[in-house]
Amino acid sequence: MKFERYGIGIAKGMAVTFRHLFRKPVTTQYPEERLTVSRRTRGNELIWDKERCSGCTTCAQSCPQGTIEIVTSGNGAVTAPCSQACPAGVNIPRYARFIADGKPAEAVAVIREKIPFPSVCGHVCVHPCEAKCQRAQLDEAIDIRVLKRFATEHDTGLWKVNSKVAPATGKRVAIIGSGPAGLTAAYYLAKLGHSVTVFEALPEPGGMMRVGIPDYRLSKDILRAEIEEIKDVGVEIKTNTRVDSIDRLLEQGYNAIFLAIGAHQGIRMGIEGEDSPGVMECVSFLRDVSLGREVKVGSRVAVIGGGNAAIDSARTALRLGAKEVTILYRRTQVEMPANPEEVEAALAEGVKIYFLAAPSRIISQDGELQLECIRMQLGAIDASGRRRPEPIKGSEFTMSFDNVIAAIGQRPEIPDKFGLPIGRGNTIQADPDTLATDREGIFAGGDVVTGPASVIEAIADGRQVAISIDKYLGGEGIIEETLAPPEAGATPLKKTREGWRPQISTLSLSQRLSSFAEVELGLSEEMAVKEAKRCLKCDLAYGVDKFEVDIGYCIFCGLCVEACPRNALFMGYDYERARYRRGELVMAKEDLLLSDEKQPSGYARPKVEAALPQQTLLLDRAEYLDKVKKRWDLRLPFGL
Amino acid sequence: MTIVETSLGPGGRLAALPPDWPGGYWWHWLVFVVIILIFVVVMVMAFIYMERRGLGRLQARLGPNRAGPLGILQPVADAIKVLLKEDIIPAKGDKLVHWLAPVVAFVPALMIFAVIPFQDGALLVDLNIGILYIVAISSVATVGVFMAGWASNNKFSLLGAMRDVAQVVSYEIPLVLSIAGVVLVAGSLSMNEIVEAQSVPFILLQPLGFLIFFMAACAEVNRTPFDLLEAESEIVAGFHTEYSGMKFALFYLVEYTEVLALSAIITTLFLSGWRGPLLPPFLWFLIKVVAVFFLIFWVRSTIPRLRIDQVMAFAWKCLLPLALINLFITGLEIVALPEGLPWFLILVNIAIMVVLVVLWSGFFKLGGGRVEV
Amino acid sequence: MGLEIAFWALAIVGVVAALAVVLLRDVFRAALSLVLCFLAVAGIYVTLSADFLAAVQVLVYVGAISVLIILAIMLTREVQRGSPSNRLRLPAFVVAILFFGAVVFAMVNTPWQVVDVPPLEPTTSALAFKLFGEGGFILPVEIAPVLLLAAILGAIVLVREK
Repeated sequence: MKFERYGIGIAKGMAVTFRHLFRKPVTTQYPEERLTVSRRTRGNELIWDKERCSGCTTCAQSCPQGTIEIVTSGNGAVTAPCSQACPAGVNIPRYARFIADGKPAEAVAVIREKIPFPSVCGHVCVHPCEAKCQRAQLDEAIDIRVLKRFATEHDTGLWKVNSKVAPATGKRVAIIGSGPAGLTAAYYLAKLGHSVTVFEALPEPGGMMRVGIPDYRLSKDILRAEIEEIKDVGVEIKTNTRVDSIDRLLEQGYNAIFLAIGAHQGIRMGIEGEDSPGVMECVSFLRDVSLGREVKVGSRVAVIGGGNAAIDSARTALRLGAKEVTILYRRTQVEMPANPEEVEAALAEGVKIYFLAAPSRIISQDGELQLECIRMQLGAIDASGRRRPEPIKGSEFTMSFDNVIAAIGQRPEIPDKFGLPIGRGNTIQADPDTLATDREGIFAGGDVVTGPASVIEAIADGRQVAISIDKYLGGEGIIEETLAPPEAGATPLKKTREGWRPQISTLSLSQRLSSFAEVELGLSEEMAVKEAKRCLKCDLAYGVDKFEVDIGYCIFCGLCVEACPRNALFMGYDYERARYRRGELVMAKEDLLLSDEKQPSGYARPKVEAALPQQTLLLDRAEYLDKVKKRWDLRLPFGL
Repeated sequence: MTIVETSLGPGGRLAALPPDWPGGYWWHWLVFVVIILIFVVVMVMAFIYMERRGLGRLQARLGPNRAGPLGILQPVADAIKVLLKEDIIPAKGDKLVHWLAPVVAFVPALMIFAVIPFQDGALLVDLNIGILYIVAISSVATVGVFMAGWASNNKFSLLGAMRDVAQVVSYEIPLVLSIAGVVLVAGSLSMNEIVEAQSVPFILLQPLGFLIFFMAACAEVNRTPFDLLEAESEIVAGFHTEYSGMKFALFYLVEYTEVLALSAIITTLFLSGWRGPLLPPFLWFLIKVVAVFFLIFWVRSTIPRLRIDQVMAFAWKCLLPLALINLFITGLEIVALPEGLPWFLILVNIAIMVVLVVLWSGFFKLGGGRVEV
Repeated sequence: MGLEIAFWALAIVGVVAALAVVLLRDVFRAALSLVLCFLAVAGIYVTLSADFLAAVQVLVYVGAISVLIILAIMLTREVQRGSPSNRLRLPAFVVAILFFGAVVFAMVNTPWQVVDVPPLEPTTSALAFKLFGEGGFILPVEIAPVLLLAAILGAIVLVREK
């Protein structure tokens, strides 16, 4: 009936615009405001992205003209983009669904299938998954990390039911370093029945998780609890044990050795006066603070560098009593490698950031440090894809501080007696697939191979090493396990409403600066369920057989584009091309389809079909002309 | 038909203003001319601000928010900017006509307010042909648009003007027919008496008439979805393509003055004008005008522009027959039920409207696949 | 006094505008002069207390007829040069003189009645009774629509293809 087509369509549209009145306006100011653009920009061309479409028919329902026809077949399970982005391959949509159903324990089991540090990741993961979240195309990416944290906070230990330890194989494995890579490998190897010993040089296990990440981001109790779980499967951890020679370990009867010693040596700045008293290096600074050793900072502290370690050092210095903390970075905020959330938090706590400034000299004078800096400007783009900073001559200026913390990078510190080939950045070279080194039975992974990276990448390396070592020791290298109960009745997403990430509650500023208490307070159950429900369930996509739009009826209102929960539709701007297409389809003007031979020389008319992108809604021409012809036969006396 | 006083009517009514308030014929003229000028200018500024901000929010944007607190000075900034612009006359244009066109368009729009009652008796002249006067005067504005289109010596201007004429001539018929329904119920052409007759707002007694009037009037004053004469994607800016500076500002003013007039007329004809409980009558009038304006730009924010053939088909094939049927039914009701039962009539009329609209949308076809380039 | 000033002003504007319609070369401007002429006539109606007639004059002549005339002008070529004289110049002149003479003759010879009764107020209901009431002009009122309908049908027949 016509009334449904027009009247209800108009009413729907009016409701859509009216709802906008009470919503947050969407703006594109960058980088101060989050970047989100309305997808409903009008164009003359409706483009359909087959890869993204799940065939949920939301667009067809939203169309006021009823022009969209979708035929789908079957329910195919695919790997969601977020899971693909995760180095460890956690099945994120699945645990999000468990959280949405109010089953955090099952969610933890899903996470535990891939990583043994769910709580740690829930607190400090750099979440490459969120960058790939399809929801970001719609409004904002799901806050996956915080969901993980919520799940682990409400865990009941359900995952232990299905967790099994294989019978002992009698093989012995030594793991040097108890960071995320080492402990992950230890955990999986122990579950496979090997006897695992972890050697740790520092008094407490955890590696960078323990001594690199400050307490206000990850409290020691959480880490300790996770390590306890690993010890429970039979891993032996020897702290305060520095291993200088791997040959001696082999002599002691270890069948395989995993080097996961991390990158614990700060890179020197290489400027005059670097060794003056009061100049510190961030890795040892953070380590000393974490281990409770006495560290004194003055009231004015400068931090050199723009990475996460620099931000951590700055915020730690504030908590140690520094009144004024200044970060000097030689590029701009856009190029900062640090996590933007961390940068925001640091700025909120009163840290000052000077961009485009690099230190050139440190002068120790009357108990204070004169830091001579030089202004930089951004030049051409370098190998890392960022614009290279270049010093501006004669732009030196001097600032005085009590302490200077250098945080310009870390590298592994490898004892000479290892006898392994050393690559770029003092890293150990290992096979990128198996992580085996040139020496038989010796494997390496984590920061010591990749250079400073993230916890989740180290975990992924640990998993790979566990597989490789098990295979080396004669096993099958299967560490996959099923911990979570099967999911009942998961259906693809039909409709979604615009929604934004939750505002995570944090400690007040005064509480933050007075102690090392955790800043982030996590989600309430209500917020977590709401957030988990925003997930688009990309892993449950349908297979779409046919997607057709009747261009004659399409008014390019963009409602379908707005309605699509997965951003598979968008409006194009290619006016000329749209004109050509319309001319071809509706007017059947044969002269638009002149063959190449017929064309006058020097005048290249684009061939219509060739000019169209693959994904446009180009219907079969003969079929369409047939349709148009029928309509013209039916037309009314006045031609309307 | 006299309507029985019902609970919908106003609680207590202030005494009507005498026709020569505040005393003396010439004083009355002077005061009201000043009041109307201030009212128009202030409301137009407010409307521009409301529309730009409101439209922004309706489309999930912020809208102008830089000039002054919350962007409230944006209309002022716009006005200053446009006044400082150079005044350009096309070299081969008709200079005199080009100069006269904005004036010819503006004067009728302003003259409409002479018969709008701000509260009981508070109007410049209570003409006994009030609404007919409005229809007559507003039809002159077309000549102004046409002059602009012609004098610009620009094909887009001329096309815009032609479209305007075609559209205005077409939509005037359903517009007047739906007004006739109201006049039949009210029993008078005088705006003040129409308000006085509305113990029940006529939107309830004439729902179909309101619908037709609203759509036809939107087309008359060229609001989206009927703003064909300035369809940017087709004919640049339509009739005012060649206008700049002060003269463009005048056209801009005309546009909003017409919308203001339209809101005021709908308020008077269908929403019982200044009548209402508790609040003073003038405030009621203002509230209703703003509400109608909100509806207008809400529609603008939602519905895309129609094609020119669809616009014409809509007027002749949908609105005209419906307006005729509405007039006929209204006439029947007045003859058959001289001392009507409003509540009963309200239900019947709403039912008739729903049935007719649903039925007609079935008959009526907005040229589906036909595209003529 | 005020009425007389108004009358003379409107009369002069009307006559000048009417002359401009005939004399201006630019047809578009001539049409605009016609609009002005119509408006002046409407003004004169107002001074005669025929407000309804004035409104209808504006509505029909200014709002519709002159707009249609302008629309027709748009469809002609060489608008600015106007219509040059042709063979029918002399016959047209003669007919115009005859028509003018007839009008003047009628005006001069009509015994104009001056009434002392003040004009009716309001005029609308009185007009309605005259047009639609018993003993009124209901027959001409009905004949006019029939004529218009015939004209519309004729136009459709003329315009239709085939």
